[in-house]
Amino acid sequence: MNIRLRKLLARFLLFSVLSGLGLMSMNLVYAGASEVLSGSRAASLDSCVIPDTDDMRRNHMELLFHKRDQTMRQGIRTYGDNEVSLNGCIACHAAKDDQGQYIPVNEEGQFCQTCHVRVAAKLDCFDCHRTTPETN
Amino acid sequence: MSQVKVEFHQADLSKRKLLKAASLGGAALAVAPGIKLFQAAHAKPDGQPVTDKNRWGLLIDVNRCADGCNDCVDACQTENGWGSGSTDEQNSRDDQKAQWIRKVSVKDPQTRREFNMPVMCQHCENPPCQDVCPTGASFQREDGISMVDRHICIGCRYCMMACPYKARSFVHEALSDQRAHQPRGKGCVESCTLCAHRVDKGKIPACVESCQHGAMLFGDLNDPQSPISTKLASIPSRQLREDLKLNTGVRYTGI
Amino acid sequence: MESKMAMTKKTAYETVSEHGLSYWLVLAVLAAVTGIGFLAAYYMEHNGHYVTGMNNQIVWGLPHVFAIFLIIAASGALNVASVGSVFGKVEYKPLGRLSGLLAMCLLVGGLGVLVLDLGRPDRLITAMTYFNMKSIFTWNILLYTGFLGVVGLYMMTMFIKSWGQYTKAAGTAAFIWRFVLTTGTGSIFGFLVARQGYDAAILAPLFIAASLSIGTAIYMLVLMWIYKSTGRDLGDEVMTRLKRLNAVLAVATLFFVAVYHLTNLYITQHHGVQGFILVSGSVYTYLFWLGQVLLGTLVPVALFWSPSFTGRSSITAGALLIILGGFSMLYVVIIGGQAYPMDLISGMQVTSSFYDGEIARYTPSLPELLLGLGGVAFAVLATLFVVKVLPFVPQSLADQSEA
Repeated sequence: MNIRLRKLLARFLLFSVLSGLGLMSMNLVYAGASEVLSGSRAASLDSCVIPDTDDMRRNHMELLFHKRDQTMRQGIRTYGDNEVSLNGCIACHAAKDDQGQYIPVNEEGQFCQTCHVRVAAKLDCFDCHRTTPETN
Repeated sequence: MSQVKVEFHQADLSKRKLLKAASLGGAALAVAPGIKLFQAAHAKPDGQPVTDKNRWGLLIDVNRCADGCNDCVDACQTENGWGSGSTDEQNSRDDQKAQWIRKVSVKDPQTRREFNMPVMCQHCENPPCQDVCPTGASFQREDGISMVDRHICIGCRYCMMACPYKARSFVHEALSDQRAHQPRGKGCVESCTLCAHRVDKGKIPACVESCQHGAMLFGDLNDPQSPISTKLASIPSRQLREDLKLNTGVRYTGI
Repeated sequence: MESKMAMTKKTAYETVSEHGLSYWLVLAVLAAVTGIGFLAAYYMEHNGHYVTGMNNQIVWGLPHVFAIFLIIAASGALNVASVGSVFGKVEYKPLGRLSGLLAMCLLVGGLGVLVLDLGRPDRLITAMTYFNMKSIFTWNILLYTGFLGVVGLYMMTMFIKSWGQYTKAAGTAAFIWRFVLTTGTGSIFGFLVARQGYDAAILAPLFIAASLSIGTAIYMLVLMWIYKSTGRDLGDEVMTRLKRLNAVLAVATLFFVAVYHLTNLYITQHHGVQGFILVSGSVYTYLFWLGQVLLGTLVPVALFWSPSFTGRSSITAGALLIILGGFSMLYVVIIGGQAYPMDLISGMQVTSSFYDGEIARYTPSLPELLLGLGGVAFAVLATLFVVKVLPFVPQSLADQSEA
C-alpha cells in the first residue's frame, strides 16, 4: 500500500514537473519564433498593425475575438484608418507558391498553421473563413 | 490580455471623436427618375456601431418580378459565394445544397393567377430562429438584420425547424472556396444577411442592385422619409405568413 | 399492509454475478454496437452531413428520433421508482433502484446521440457556456443535466441508510423534474409555430404519456432479462402489476394522440397535413396506423390486459411492441411533421428550386441508424454493467405468498 502510494506520488510529481516545463517552453516558443514567410507582404514591412510583434504573437486571438464581435454584431468594419480584419491578416501573411498562386495560411508550414501545430492549439478560424486573399 | 482590449476600445473612442458623421459621399443610386433606392446619408459612419435608429428592409413588387429571370439569385450566389458563386458543395445532393435566396412561383388554384417572387430571410422583428437558438448564435443586429454567429453555432438546426420561410440552410460538407467577406463552413447554419457587409459600407444588397425590373427596393423602414417608407405608406403590401405576427422586414406588394 | 411493509424494508439488494457466459456475451455485443455507433458518428462528422439522408428540408432525421425516444424513455423509466416512493406503493419500492439507474443510462444514451449528430459536436462546450434563456432547447440542456443530478441524489437516498428519510422528498423532486423535462421535450415541437404538424400544446402531455408507457416497457424488458439470466426469482405479482400499468399508460397515450388529431381535423387549415399523415398512403400513414396504433398500442394492450395471455413471452412481446409503437410515433411526429411542406402564402400553390410546396423526401442512411442504435446499446450496456458493480437489483422479487 505504502509503495503503491509512493509510486503514485512520484508519478504525479513527474507529471507536474513535465507539464510545468511544457508550459514554460510555450513561452519560449512565443518569444523566439518568427513565422513571417518570405514572399508575403508582411515580410516587406517593419512591424505588424500593432508595433509590438511579441504582443501580437501572444494576444492576436484576443484582438481577433474583439474585432470579430465588433464586425459581426455591430457592423464595425474598420479600425482607425485601417481596414483591420482577419482578411487583412491573411492578405498580408499569405505566401505564394512557385506559380505565383497564394498558399492557404492553414496549410502545413504556412503562417498560421506552423505555430498552432507547435503549441497544439486548434485552428478553428478556417473551417469558415477564406484562407487566401481574394485576387479578383 | 485585457489591457489590449482596453486599448482597442480607447482607440475606437478617439476615432469616433475624429470622425465626421457625414464623411460618406452622397452617391445615391436611382433606378428610375425620382425613385432613390438608397440614400447614402442613412449609412452609418465607419467605425460606429449600428443602431436601432435604422431598420433595414426590402419591398418586393411581385408584379414586376419577371418569369424566368434569376438575376437576384445569381447575384447573391456571386456576392456571397454559394451555389454557382463557389466551387464548393460538390458532394452534397441538391436537397442538401445551401440556398440563401430562391425564386418561388406562386399560383392561385381558384383564380389561376400566377406570379413570381424572390424569397429570402424575412428579417423579422421577432425572429423565431432567434427565440429557439440554444446558444444565441441566431441573433439580430440593432438595425434589424438577422444573422448567424458561426463562432457559437453548434449546428443543431433548431432554427431551421422554427423558420416559417425555409430561409436557412445547413452546410453539409467542408468548404474552402468562400468569399473573403462572407465566411461559410461545414456544420453551421446560414442564411441571407441582407448583405450586411455591403450595407455597412453604404451599398445596397446585391440582389436589389441586380434586379433589372425594378422589383426590389431596399431602405430604412424606420425613416418615414425614405423611399421605401413613403412607398409602403402609399401602396398596399403584405408580409409572408402575417398570421404569425413576426413583423417582417421584407414586404411584398401585388400578392 | 404492516407485514408487507416489513417485507419490503428487508429487501436484500445484491450485485449481479450469478450468471453464465451469455451475460458477458450480451455485454460484449452491446459494447460492439456502442463502438460502431461512435464510428458512425465520426464518419458523419468527418465528412459532414452530406453522407446522411438528412437535407435542408428534413433537418432532423433518424438520430433525432432515436435521441428523443431515449430521452423520453428515460423520463418514463423513472416512473416505477416514483410510484414506489412518491405514491407510497410499497410493492414498487424494491424496483426503485433499477428504475433510477435505467432512467439515467437512457438519458445519457439519448443525449449522446443528440450531441454526436450536431453539426459542430466539437463545440459542446459552447452549448454549455452560451445560453439563450428564451430557447426551450436551453431549458432542456439544463433540465437534462439537472435530471441526472436529481435522480443521482434520489438514488443515494435509496442506497445510504441514514439518508432513507429523504427518499420521499428526493423522489418527489425527481418526479416533478421528470414531468417538467418531458413537458420541455414535447415543447421542442409544440413551440414551433411555423409548422402545422407541430405548434400544439397537447404535444407536451402526449409526450409525457408516451414517455411513461415506453419507459415502463423498457423497464420490464430489462428487469425480466436480468432476472432470467441470473436465475433470480421474479414473481408474477410484480410483472402483472407492471404490465397492467403499462396498458393503462399506452391507452392514455392513444387518447392524447386521438385528441391531437381530432382537434386538428376540425381546423380546415390543418386538413392538408392531417390528411398527409392519416390517409395519403405515405410511409407515415403506415407507420401511424400499423406501427403506432395497431401494433404499438392495441395489440400490446390486449396482450397486457387479456387474461388469456399470462406467460412472460406475451409480456416480452407486448413490451417490444410498445417500443415499436413509441418509435413509430416519434418518427411520424418528427419526420412526418417536417416532410409536409409549410404554407408560404395561404391558399396558394408554390414551387421553387428549394422544394417549396413539395413533400420532402427522406431516406435514412446507415450511419444514422448505427448512431441511433449505438445510443440504445450504450444505455442498456451501462445499465447491465452497473448492476454488476453496485447492488441495484433485489436478490428476489418472488411473489409475497411464495416467500
